[in-house]
Amino acid sequence: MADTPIVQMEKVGKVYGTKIQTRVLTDVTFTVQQGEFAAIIGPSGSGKSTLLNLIGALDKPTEGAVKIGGETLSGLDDEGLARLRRRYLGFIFQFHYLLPDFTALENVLMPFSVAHGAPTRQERKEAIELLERVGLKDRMNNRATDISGGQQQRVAIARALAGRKPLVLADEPTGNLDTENSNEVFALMRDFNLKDGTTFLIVTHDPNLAERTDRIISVIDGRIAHDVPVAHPK
Amino acid sequence: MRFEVSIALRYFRSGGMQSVLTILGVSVGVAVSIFIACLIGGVQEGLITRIIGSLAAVSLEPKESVPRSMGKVFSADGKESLLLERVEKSGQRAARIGEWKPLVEHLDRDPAITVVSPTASGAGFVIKGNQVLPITFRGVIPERANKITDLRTRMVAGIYDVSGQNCVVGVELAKELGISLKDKIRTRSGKGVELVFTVMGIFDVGINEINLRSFYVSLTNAQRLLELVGYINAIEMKVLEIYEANTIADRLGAVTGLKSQSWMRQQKEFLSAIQAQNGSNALIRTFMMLAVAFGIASVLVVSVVQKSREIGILKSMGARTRSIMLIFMIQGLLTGLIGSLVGTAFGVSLCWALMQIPGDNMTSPGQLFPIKIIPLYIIQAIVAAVVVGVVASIAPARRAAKLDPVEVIRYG
Repeated sequence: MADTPIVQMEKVGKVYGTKIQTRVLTDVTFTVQQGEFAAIIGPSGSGKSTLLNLIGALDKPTEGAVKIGGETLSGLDDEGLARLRRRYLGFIFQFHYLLPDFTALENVLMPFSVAHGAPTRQERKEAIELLERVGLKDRMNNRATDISGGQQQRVAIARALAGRKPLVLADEPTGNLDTENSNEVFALMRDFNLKDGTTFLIVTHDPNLAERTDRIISVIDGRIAHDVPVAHPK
Repeated sequence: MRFEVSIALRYFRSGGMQSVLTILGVSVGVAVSIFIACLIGGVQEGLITRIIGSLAAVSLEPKESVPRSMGKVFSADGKESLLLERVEKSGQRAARIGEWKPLVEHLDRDPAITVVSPTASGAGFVIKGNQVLPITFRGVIPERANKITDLRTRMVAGIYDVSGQNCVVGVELAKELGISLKDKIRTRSGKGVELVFTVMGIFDVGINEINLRSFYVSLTNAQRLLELVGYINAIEMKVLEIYEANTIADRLGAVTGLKSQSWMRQQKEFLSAIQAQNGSNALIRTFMMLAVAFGIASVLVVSVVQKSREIGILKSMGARTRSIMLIFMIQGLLTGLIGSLVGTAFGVSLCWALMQIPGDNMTSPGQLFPIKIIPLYIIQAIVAAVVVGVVASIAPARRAAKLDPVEVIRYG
């Protein structure tokens, strides 16, 4: 699988609506290799979130092909898309969206439960390790509502990574956090990218954050305007 | 535990007041359903015991018009055959059933029939002083007959004893003729045969006609009075399922070639009253359950809206459509289950409390209200509420499963 790009977009277009048609994406083509750490930027309404939903197997393209891990989305039904998400994808959102009635640990274990029922001991161990890496091992039995906003977003990162997902999609992951917490969240994502080879695609408004990734894909009016690597001075 | 169950449980718990109120709603529905069923059931069972209880559910009699002799008859399973001289009728002789003993044995083995009582009945008179009253001789085998009409427990004086030259009579007849226990009374049958009996007991079955006319004697004496020695002229039966009486009567009629009667045809008015009660009972309970269904469904619809973001997140994790539906259907099931248990406690307590109020009613002596706690109705109410809970949750559950994760995550 090392040779197959984790994300392949081939001439992807997306049109919403049937009577009044709104074209959101046009002729989007790019690939993302396993282990990349990229930002998707663009003004509001540029279509970047739609792009992320397509990559996230939450939506299907109107034209062209979206392939995740080599599998083409168009051929899959809802259950097929769900299976694809279970296998490849972790999500981080602007709002943490933890399940409020569950503890931090239970939230991190949720992807395993969703996939196959009760988590195994090994999976539990993995979840605790993830919480340790995001610095919240001591809070793992706190309810999701009983920890701070920054901590909640860190739990959400741990949840997105549970199950060694090869691809994590982050939609404005720091949009709701102060600078200190933003930096912390960014550092954590970078850490997982470097140590575990997890691919990150981060949709953001924040140019500072985008500058710190390895690649910037900018979307304007539903088209890829630029797709450039970022040079990091050593 | 499956994660659908644990999420459903957490939602249920975190629902707080919402969950409590829904459960209360279901409880009230179940409690009313049980209460109504036990009240109507109690009245009905009382009436049935009172009116049908002293009558045969099914009976076989000779066919009066068509004379028949020697016929081959097959039992219901078609294997066994009984060769019986079934009915004889000539100008002077009453219709009668001969060779009845094998027939009774055969009926005894029929699983649908619980009691078989061969009888010889016929018209006659009681003569006391210069009073002459028409009566119906009822010649019975005491043990068998008592299971049709429970005279033993309905004796207001003396004992149930028709052995030898003993007889028992109804209260109305005793009053009419001024009869008391141990009195010897002279009787004459339509055939002109006279016998003297000693009154051993006086009964009250609650039906005037029987209290006034029925004159119980041994089968042997009745056979002598009615010139039926060796014969009988009716077989009375009780059946396991009283509402199966028509079917059983038809079956026995076809198998034996005798004329069959069923209480359901003889007591048509009573039956239609019972059926009207059953109908209103069913109607009330159906509407209660509908109300319960709407209650559960509306609360779950609200819950789906409240939890839509979390549902979106679960979907983004790849949760199956089935899992999302299950989460809400389990909540419906739980609401139905807990509600029905609480409701059962309410309903049964209410019935029990009302049963403790002393008084008297037509059907249940000692109680002001004719209520009877009938386990079947309670089980029905519980099962109905649980089924309703699950069914009511289907629409909200589908709605949850159809949520578009993109929309709820984005605009939540």
